[in-house]
Amino acid sequence: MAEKNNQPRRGPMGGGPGIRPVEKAKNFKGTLKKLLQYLGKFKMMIGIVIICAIISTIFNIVGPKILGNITTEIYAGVMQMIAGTGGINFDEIRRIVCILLGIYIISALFSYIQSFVMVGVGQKFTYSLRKGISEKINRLPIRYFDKKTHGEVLSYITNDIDTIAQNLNQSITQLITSITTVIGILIMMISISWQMALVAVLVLPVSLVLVATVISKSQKYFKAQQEYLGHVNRTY
Amino acid sequence: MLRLSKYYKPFIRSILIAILLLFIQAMCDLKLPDYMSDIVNIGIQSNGIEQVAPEAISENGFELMKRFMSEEQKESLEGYYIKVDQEDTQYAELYPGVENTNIYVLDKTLETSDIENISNSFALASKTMINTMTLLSAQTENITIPTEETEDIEVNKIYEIMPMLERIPTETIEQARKEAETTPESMLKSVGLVFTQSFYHELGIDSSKMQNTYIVKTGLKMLGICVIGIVAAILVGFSGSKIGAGIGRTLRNDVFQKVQSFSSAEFNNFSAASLITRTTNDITQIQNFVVMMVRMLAYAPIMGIGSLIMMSQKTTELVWTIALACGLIIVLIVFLFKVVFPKIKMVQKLTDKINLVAKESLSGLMVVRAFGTQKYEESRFDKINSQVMKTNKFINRSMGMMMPSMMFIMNGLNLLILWTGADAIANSQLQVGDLMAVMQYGIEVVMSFLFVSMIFIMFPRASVSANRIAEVLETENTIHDPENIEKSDSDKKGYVEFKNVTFQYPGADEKVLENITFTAKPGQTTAIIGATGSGKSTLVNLIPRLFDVSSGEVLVNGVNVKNMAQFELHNQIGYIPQKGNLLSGTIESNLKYGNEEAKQELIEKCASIAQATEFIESKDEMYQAPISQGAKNVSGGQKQRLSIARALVKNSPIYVFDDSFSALDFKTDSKLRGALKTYSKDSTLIIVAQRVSTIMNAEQIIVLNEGKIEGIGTHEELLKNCPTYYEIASSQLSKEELENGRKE
Repeated sequence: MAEKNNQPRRGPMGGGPGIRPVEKAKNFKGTLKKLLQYLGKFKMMIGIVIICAIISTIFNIVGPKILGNITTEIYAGVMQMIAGTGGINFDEIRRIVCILLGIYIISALFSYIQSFVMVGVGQKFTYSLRKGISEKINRLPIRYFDKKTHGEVLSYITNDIDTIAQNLNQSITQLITSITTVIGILIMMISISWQMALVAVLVLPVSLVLVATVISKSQKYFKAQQEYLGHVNRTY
Repeated sequence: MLRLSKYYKPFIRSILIAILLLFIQAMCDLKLPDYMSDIVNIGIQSNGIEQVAPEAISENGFELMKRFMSEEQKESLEGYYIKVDQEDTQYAELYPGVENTNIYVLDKTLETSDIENISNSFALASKTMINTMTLLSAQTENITIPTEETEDIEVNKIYEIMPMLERIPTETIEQARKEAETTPESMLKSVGLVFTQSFYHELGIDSSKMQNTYIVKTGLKMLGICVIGIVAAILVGFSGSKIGAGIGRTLRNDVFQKVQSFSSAEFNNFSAASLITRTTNDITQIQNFVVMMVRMLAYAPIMGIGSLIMMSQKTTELVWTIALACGLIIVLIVFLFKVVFPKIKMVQKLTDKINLVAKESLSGLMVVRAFGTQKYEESRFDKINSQVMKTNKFINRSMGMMMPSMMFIMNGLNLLILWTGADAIANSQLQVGDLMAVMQYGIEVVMSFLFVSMIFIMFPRASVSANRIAEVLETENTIHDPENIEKSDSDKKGYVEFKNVTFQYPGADEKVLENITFTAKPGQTTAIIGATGSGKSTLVNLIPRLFDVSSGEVLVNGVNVKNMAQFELHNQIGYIPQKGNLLSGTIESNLKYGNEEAKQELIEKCASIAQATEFIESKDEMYQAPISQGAKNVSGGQKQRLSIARALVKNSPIYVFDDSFSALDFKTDSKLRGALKTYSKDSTLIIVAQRVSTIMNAEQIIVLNEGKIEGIGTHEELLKNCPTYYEIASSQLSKEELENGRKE
């Protein structure tokens, strides 16, 4: 037993030379699968979340385009004022404002329903994870607790599960809204002017490359920071 | 937060620089909507013509405009425009229309104020002309107004009716001008620009090219400002991280040093786990908060106030809409926090509870299994678990209202600005581009307002961390080095004396030790025995001054330990704790812990005395074999033997064994003691033990019971005189052994 415990508990993925990876999942795909399995119970709820998120995002995207109509209307009115042949059509503007108000309310409403349902899923999920661990504690062989300190097990129950809950909540919501937003905005931009849309899309790879280089450079230091914090921890 | 203020001081310069950079960044960000407004107002609406005063105008046009100006305006115009003849090819490229007509060119050396005057004259003249036409068309049917197409006025058509215009009575024109003077300035400017555009057109200037040039020019300016802003933002990020990390480093160093200086009394105040969180989590919290502070707290107000100023330069009509939005946000935040904050506190308590229950079922694992009470434990956990779930649901659902409501407020603000702005535009108080800029400024103000309120939310959390760190840093050490250090008495080297010592833990009522008096001499073994909780470990902890006595004196080398330098005191003592704590590293690094210069020879010798040679040499790397964190890769007995060897390597005159033989089997125990006796024959040995066999041969045995000395003497003496000792011994030794002891 003396030799075995000597090795780092989490084996290096792909074996980076000399660098001990910090808190990386041993088997990411497997873990993800397990998580999804757990989530399977909440299929219905997640379906509702997805639909609400899509609706809310669509309305959110349509907003600016209609808002643009007001500006256009005002602009046209101003041109007529200059010519002395008319003025701003306030009736039209009032109509658009009312439509927009409705759109904003619907968007906010669905966005709230979505977060409401998602919170329910996330909390039930963490509840069942905690319950699972508390029951598992009573079934695990005593040997397991010789290797793990109580602190570690405790931090699984509180910290780690909290982290999962938070990430789950944010990730799923963000994933859905992001995808809908990207698609929706693209359609909107193309419908306004495909040339301008093209320019905006062309900027993306550039920023992607920029972000990627920054991250690849900084990741190293994040790892190092985490590791040194661990050293500080160990000194006690 | 304030308690740590001295840690920010070294970074004041960096902080000031960061704030300066933030100002630059804010200026850049604030300037952008302004330029955008220019692009809309000048670039798109007026085809890139920046001023009403035309840079060049045909002779006909000049005469036409002059016809509608007042006498003074006409005169003032003369000096500013230079006549260029048709034949002059100097301007042919710039103004192709010069081939057909004489032109007037604006003096390039004029001041901006002059150009503004001229622009005003032209604008007024333009409006006057339109008003005149309207007046005339009201009088007679047959005069067409040449301004139906606002985009491009056919100036040639106007020239055709010039002779007719000459005949217009001056009164009519005067009346038209009076009317024109009441027209708002921005309206005048717009009308003037339409005419200027037509004059340019007449001269063959490509207006779409002009527009493009203007937009590209402004766009490049925007790009430049953007780049400056980004550079400033990056530098702010740099200095922010530097300040945060720097403060973090000094704090960690100081906390660590402070903790190192703690005596057991202070350690008992904070738990080890809490000290770890304080040095890692809490300091990271502070570090992140400082970075946030530098980047956001400073930025948000600059941006917010700046936006307000920029906005009120465009119009003051719409400021109330922003105030309304901010007010709504305050109401929302206050409401949510009134509702949510108590629940957040509750969750913290519940999390503690969940920890407690889980911890209990972990530490009581054996008991739970032995009694088969798993179901009970599970239901206990489940109760709190579902409570946590319910409370968290409530919190998250309430907080979930925040984002949609904020979005709604922002969107609503936009609508409000557009609606009221349209009114302002209709009254010619505002231009379209300005309205768009105001919308952006409005969002900017609200956003920075949000940031500021977010910091108010974050502040309490960081402040809790700061207080926890400050608590550690401000803890007064109860054990200090004395001001006047006493030299040790050379006659009494190796002597450990207790004189009437009484001790109680700080804050405790009961005395753990009472009236302890004895002397341990060099070359002798002094053993301390007693039941659990009799104060044995506490007694030996007083020797290296891990605690200070409540009354009486502890003397080492004939000097009160309170009057010795702690370093010197600790140097005298080789202390072997109950739990053999090893540090991560190798076996050798652990053995050398108390004596860096120890030679391999000495190390091996001490290892052999401690009976550790056998298992060390069974390892492949021998003395270089690694010790993992918490020494989990060696057994309890091995740990004890290594920590005994470690103390021996230190080669000090006094050894204190705090129940250090407990994990050794009987044989190893006796072999070890035999070897120890020869190695340390001049040293003072103080041994705490539970096994009588371990200490039978000691020169002096002290029997402790409930903090009091029940008897002092040799094994044989105590068997006769001390009932407590006899009780302990009789429970451990065979009858013959007891009888032997009594006889001698």
